[in-house]
Amino acid sequence: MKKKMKRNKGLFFILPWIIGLLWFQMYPFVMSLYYSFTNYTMLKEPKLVGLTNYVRLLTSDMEFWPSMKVTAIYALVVVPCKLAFALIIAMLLNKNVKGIGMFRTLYYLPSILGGSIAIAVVWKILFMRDGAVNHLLSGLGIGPRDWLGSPNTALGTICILSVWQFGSSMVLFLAALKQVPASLYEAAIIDGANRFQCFFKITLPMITSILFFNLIMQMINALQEFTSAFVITGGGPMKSTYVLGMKLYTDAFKYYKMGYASALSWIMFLIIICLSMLVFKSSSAWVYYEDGGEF
Amino acid sequence: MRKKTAILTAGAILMAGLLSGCQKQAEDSGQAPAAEQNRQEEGTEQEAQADQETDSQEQVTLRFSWWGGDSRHEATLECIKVFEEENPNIKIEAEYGGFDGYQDKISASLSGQTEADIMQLDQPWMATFMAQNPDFFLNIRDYADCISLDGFSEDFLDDFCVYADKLVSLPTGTNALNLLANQAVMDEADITFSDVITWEDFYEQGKKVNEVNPENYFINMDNGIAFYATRIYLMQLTNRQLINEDYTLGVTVDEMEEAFAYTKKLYDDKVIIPYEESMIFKGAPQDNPKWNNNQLGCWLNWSSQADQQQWGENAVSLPYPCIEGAENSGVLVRPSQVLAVSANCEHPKEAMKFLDFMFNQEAGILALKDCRSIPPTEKGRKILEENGLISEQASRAVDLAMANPGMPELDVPNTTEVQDTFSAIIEKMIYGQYAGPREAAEEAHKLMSDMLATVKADME
Repeated sequence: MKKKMKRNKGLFFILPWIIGLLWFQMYPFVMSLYYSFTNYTMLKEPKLVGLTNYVRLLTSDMEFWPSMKVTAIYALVVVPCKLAFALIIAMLLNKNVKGIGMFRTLYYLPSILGGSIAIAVVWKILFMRDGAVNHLLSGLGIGPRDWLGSPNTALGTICILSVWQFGSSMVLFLAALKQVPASLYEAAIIDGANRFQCFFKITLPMITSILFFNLIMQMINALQEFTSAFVITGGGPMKSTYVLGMKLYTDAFKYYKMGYASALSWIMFLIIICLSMLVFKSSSAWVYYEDGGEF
Repeated sequence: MRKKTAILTAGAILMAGLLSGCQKQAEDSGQAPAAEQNRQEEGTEQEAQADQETDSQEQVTLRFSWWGGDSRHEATLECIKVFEEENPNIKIEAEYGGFDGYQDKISASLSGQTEADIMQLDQPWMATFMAQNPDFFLNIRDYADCISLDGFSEDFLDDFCVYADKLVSLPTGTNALNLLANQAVMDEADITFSDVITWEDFYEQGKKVNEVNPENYFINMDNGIAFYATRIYLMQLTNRQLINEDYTLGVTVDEMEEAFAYTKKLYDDKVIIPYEESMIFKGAPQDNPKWNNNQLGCWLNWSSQADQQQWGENAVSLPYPCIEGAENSGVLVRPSQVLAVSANCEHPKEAMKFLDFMFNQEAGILALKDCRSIPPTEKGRKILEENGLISEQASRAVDLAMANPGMPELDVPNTTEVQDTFSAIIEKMIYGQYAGPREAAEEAHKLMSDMLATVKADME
């Protein structure tokens, strides 16, 4: 009886969270699935249209596949670059030098600012024709370029912004690096291992669990990219930065095709789920858990 | 024991909070059908209710939402302040910001029935809103005792504000497409125009700006304006609408080719600022530092935007370019924006009274100045002119347009999807993705026809 009371008390205290989860996450989640089978426009009652939205998206929408391609390129560039950059900086910040705390804070700052509209606007100003980047390059004798106006460089410029926001991955890598026992390095050095061997044979295997976590999180973030493309280029020029998130927004809020956009969001969801499962499946081959990985 | 009491108290508070939240929600959801029902009821009931409220001088709060720049915000807030001083029982809550995201916000709030009582809307959106629900807004004619419509042009109201015989909005001002030019830039390049500017003349003269200084260009243009300019060229060329009422294209591939070829020529010969450079200022070409630095000579934009420059006396309004002998000038004249009152407004009489103050009362007109372009009523324009409060360029732009207005446009070409599809093709053509204007025109014809068929199917 007492045990039951205790359990109910616990449930009672997490009730606000459960209500929040059901109302703000599960309800929209389920409703978006329902809307994806309707012609919902936000302003009118939805009418069931079966699989029309999905069929139209996959077969006759001229923007869907190019948008998929842009998103894939973005994710393929951003995720590895960001992880590599975060790991390199984390290793540098893992040294015991004077003022290391300040450096750690400074390197984390872009991530605090990163998701905001303001930083996207700053990025736009930096890369415009009369911006700081072109001024710096002119010192090297390189003429001004329209970084965001050219379809060849616009996506790259947005990728750089995303890679620059490496702070959260870096903090996790730093924590993982701290956990690697110093005795392993000592033993390896005594056996004559050089720095590269230490990194590839000890450091990397020992932090694979965090690498795995970062990979999953960054992959999901990259596939859901929206803010930078929306604020900096608006998806242009020539749709070269028109990621799926932009397409979803445009269909839903500019064209009022909420049902169609819901179908797109479910396709995105399925892609993300499949890729995540693939990475999870592969993890048994390359992720090392000290406790064997049992949950 | 004390611990148990504390836990129970905390639990009781939490429960009370949740229940009151549910209660509020229940009340809200109870209101929703009532509001829906209200929309269908005769205006007389609302009037009776409103009468009662006015008689009792009950404290009334209205929400008014608009978008704009600083000058519009300041003028509108001043107008609200003066109105509140004259009507101490009415409080107007201002909800204002920039244009970005405004349409999304309005759509979401209309959907959730949380919209402001009085809303500033862009006229082209009205077709979409009214197609979705003809009862979103009140019929302003039902409140003739609160607002006088005498000063408005009946034709203008019929063309832009009446849907299904209901006057659902009022124009805030008259807006016309206009060629706004910088005399200093034109003088430097030795550009002179006659009273009638042909497109060929526009091209030949415009070329000179870049020839004199390779960093300067005659036309400042983003893809939105490029869409309008090309569309107007087409309307002058064909004397037809770009899209017919039955959602079919009103122009042929050959005609599109000719219009595209002209637009391409302007870009190729550097009459227009290169797309790569202007793209970053999409939606706000006036933010380009070159604009106020006398490095860009003109734009083909709306008269309501005529104040978006710091050229002083060098700012001049010129006639819109035309094809020689064209029957249709193509120069669009339409409301700058419109103001509508929500059907969910609980105090419609007070809302109409506020509209009347803005449009018909001298204090309101003087407070608002020309922050929403040239006032839509003769009285409003006269008051501003007498007080020197009207932009000379905007005023001349409207006069020029009204002298030979183009055929009134239909609603379909103004939908965002049509504009985006058309603009995307122009963009690709300028970036050299097509072999020439012919290929661009063929693709435009196909894509627009497919898209219109889809839009039509969705409407049915």
